[in-house]
Amino acid sequence: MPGRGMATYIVSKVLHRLGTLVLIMALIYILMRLAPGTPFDEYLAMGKLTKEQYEYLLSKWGYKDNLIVGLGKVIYGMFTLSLFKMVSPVWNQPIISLVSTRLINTLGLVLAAYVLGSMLGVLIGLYTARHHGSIRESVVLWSALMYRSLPVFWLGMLFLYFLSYVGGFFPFTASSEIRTSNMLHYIVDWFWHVILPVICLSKLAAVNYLFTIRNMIMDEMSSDYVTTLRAVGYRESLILEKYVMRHILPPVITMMAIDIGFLFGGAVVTETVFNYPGMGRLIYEAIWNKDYPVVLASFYIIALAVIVSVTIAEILYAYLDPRIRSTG
Amino acid sequence: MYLGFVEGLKYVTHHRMGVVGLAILAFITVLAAFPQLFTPYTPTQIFEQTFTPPSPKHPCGLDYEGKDIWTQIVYGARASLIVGFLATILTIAIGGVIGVISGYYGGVVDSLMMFVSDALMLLPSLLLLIVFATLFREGFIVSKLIGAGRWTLWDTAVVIALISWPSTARIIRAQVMQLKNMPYVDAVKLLGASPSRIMFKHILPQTTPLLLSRITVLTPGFMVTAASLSFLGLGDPNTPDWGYVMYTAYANMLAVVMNHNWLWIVLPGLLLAITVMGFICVGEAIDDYLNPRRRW
Repeated sequence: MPGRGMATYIVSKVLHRLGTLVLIMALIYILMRLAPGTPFDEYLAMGKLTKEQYEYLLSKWGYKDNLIVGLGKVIYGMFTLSLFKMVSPVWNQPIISLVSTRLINTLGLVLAAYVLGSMLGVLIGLYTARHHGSIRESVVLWSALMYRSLPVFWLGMLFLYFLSYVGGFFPFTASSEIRTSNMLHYIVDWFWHVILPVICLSKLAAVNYLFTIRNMIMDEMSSDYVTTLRAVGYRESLILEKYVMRHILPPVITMMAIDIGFLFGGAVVTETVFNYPGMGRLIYEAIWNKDYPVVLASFYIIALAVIVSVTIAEILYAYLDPRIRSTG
Repeated sequence: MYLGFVEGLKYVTHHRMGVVGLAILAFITVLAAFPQLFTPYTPTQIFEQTFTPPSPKHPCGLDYEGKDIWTQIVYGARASLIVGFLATILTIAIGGVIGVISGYYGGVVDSLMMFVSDALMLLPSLLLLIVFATLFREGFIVSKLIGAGRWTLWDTAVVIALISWPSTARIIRAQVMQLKNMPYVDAVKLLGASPSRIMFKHILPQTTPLLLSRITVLTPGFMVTAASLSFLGLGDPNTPDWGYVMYTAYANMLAVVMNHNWLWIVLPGLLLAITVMGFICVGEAIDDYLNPRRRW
C-alpha cells in the first residue's frame, strides 16, 4: 500500500524534524547563556544605570533565569509562537515588527538567488554533459569553475567598486528608497537595486552542484538503460532530457534543499556588502549586542525555513522514489 | 596502499585539470612559505603616510595605519592556508572518528549521533560561526589556553571543525557500514580483535582515499568561510588573512575609490579565488581517479 507507507513516512519525518528544531534552538540558547556579557553592561560602565537598575533590567529581560527555566521558556515560545511577541531590550520594539520587513527583503533575495542559481546549475550541467569532450564544454566549464571559486563578498565588492562607484550603472545601496504609486516603476526600481546582490548570492546555490550534476549525468550515460535506449534509436537529447534527468533530479533537489541554509549564511555577507536591510544584518547586530530575543527569533525563522524546505524535498523525494521510504 | 597513492599521483599529474590545480597550489604554497621573497617589508611595519595611491615602492599603496597592503596580502596567504588546512584536519579527525563509531556500532549510538549531525547540518555554518566569534570575543578554547585574550585564527579553525564534521561523518559512516560486513572483518573478529582495533586499524585505513578527496573539498570551503568571518570584522587583526585585508578595503571604500586603488580590492580576492580553483581542480582529478567509470 503506497498510501499508508507514505503517511507513516511523513509523520516520522515531521516528528524527527521537530526534534531537530528543538535541539537547534537549545544549542543556540545555551551558547548565548554561556557567553559573558549583557546588552546593559555598556550603560552600567558609562554610569547611566545604577547597580539596582541594572539588576532589575537583567531579571526583567530574563538574563538571570535559571538555564533550565530559560530553556523551557524558549521551547514553550517556539510552539506557541510567543517567541515573536517578545520585546527586544535593545530596540525596545516587539520582534514581529523588527522582523517583518527584513524577512520579506531577505526571503526575496534568497529565493531569487536560489532560483537563478539552480537554473544556471542544472542548465549548464546539462549543456556540458551533452557537449562532452568539445571545446565548448571546456570554455563553459572553466568559466563556471571560476565563477564558483569567487568568494561571495569579493564578487560583491567588485560589483560595488567597478559597477557602482566607478561605472555608476547601479546604486550603492541595495534597498529601494522610492515609494512611487506607479507599480511598474516600483518593480523596475526594486529589480535595479536587488540585481547585484542576487547575482552574488546565486553563486552559492546550485552552481556549486554543477560538477555533481555533470558527473551524475555522465555516470548515468554509461549505464545499461541508456545503452538500450540508444540501441532502440532514441535521440541523445531525448534520452538526456526525458530519462536521465528523471533519475538525477530527485537527489539534486534534496541536496539543494539542504543547502538553502547556506544561502542564509551567505545572505549575511551579501547584506553587509550591499548595506541591504535584511535578516542577516539584523542577526549580526543582535548577536553583537547580545540581544537574545531577536537572535532566538531570527534563528527560529531561519531554522524553520530550512527545515520546512528540507522536509518538503524529502517527502517529494520519497514520493518520486519509493525505495527511500522503507529505509527512512 | 603506497602503490595506490603513487598511481593516483601519476593520474592527477596527467589529468588536464589536475595539472592546472597542482600548479596553482604550488604557487600559493611558495607564497605562504617564503613571503620574504615577494616583499621587502613585514606586515607589522608602519610607514609615515596613510592611504597613499599605488607607487613603485608600495605596489598596492598603504592602508589606514600606514601598513603596506601588498605585504599584508602576501603574508595573508599563510594565514588563510593555515586556517583552511587546520580546520580540514580537525574536521576529518572528528568526522572520521564519529563516522566510524556510529557506522560500526549502529543502533542507539548511531541514531543519537546522526540526530545531532542533522541539526548541525541544517543550520548555516557561517551563522553559527558568527555566533561563536561574536559571543566569545574574549577568546574561545585555544585563545584561552594560549592566553591571547581575544578571538584568534586558531579559534576560527577549531570552531569551523566543531560545526562542520557532520558531512564527513556521514560519508565515512556510509562507507563503514559497507565495510563492516566484509569477510576480512569477520576474520579479524574471529582472531579476537577488539572493536576499537577493528575500527581504527582495519576499517578506517580503508577509507583513506575518501578522506584524501575530502581534503580538496573541505579546505577551499573553509578558507572562504574563515575569510567571510574576517570580512565581517570578526577576524584576527594580528594575523591578517585575505578576508581581513578585504575587510579593511571595504571599511575604507571611499579612500579606495578616491585613490583608484582597485588593487587593494582585487588582489586578495583574486588570490583566494585562484586558490579555491586550484583545490577544486585537484579535487576533480582525484574524483575521476577514484571513480573508474568516469575515466574516459
